Amino acid sequence: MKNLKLKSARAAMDLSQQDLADKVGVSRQTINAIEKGDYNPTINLCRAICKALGKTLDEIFWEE
Amino acid sequence: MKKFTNILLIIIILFVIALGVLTPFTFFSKKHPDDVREFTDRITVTKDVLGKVDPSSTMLHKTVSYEDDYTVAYSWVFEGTDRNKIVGMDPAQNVFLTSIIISDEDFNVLYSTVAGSIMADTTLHLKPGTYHITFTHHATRDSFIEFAKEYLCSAEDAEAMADAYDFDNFVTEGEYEMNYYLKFAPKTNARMFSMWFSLFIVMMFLVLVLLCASLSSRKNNLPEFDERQELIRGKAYKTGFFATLILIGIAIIIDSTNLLPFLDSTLLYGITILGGVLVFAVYCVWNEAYFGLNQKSSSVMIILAFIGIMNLFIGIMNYFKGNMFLNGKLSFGFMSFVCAFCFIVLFVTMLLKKINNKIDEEQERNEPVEED
Repeated sequence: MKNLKLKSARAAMDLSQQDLADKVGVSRQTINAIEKGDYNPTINLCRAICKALGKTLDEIFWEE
Repeated sequence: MKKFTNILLIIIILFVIALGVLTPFTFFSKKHPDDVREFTDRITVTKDVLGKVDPSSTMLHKTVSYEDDYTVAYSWVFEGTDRNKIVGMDPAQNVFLTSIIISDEDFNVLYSTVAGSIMADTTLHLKPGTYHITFTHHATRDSFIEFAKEYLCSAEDAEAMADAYDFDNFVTEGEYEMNYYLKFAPKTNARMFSMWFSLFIVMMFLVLVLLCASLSSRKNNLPEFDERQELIRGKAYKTGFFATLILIGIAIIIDSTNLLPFLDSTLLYGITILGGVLVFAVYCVWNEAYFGLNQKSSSVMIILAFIGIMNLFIGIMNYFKGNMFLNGKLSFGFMSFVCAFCFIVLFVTMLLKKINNKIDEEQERNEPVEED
């Protein structure tokens, strides 16, 4: 399932996939895979992404 | 633990690259123009002929251009018999006993044997010149004893040797096709890896280990992978491992059943190993886990393309120099083409992935963001 919350949060901060990847220390393809729903990140990476985007885990990764 | 894994990984990568680069150079060793010569002769033995074979002889000539130790292999078999499976053949099937004499230009005997040994392997030091190879066929005990006394041993020993053969029971009826096979191979060529080359390989390996140890001490030089890449690499190792197992299984079947008689065993197993490595590399490249976060793909791609083209070029040179085939089989010289194929496949995969990534990035940039 696509992670649109992550994509919109990233876009809101005017960050490209590469920018976010550099901030959290992963490859662009990893961010792309998370957004497309092809890869489920570990809790550590989820926290790093949330910190970089100034969001909480619930806001980015919780499905309603 | 991670440091050790990284060292091991670098050793393997460097070893594969070294293999790809060095393998073609092993075929630059000096080869004799009269590399390997094989003589085959076929004689139809009929009831009529048998009466005349006592003794009868066939003579061949071989010209040697370079002084060297030559391996002489010789066998004779009935038509339809597998030359590699003749050990234990019933001597009573013999229609006659065949002896071989190798003599120099002045007919001085250098080597002689009898067919009792079925397959003789010996080493002769030959100087440039012409040599005579004479096959002599003995259908009776007396004929053989005369031959043995002249070329092999004393009269008593000749009698004792003759007792070992059951001349009375030699088949004297019917038609038989006999194949004679004689091979001369300079020993320099027979040794794929000389002692010095083996020593060189060991030294190279030690240098690589030291180099890797030195590199691993500098943390910045090691590739860093993120968690997704680590996961993919684990899957790639597994896939490569199973691919190698499957390929080894196929290679064993091909080798044992002689399914592809034009392929040399060494080449077959070399392809197997490279096949496994290629599967691992392609899987990693296609899933973006080949290069670490701190690595650039462009320089690696240039190196891969260079090694691939170099191997292709050396392979073509090997072909035109006649190093591609040995005894009618594709020899290890073909490995250059296999290496070239692997490096080019890897290069093309990287190129395709790079193009794919560019398109992907463009799409990502232009795609409107759907708000929740």
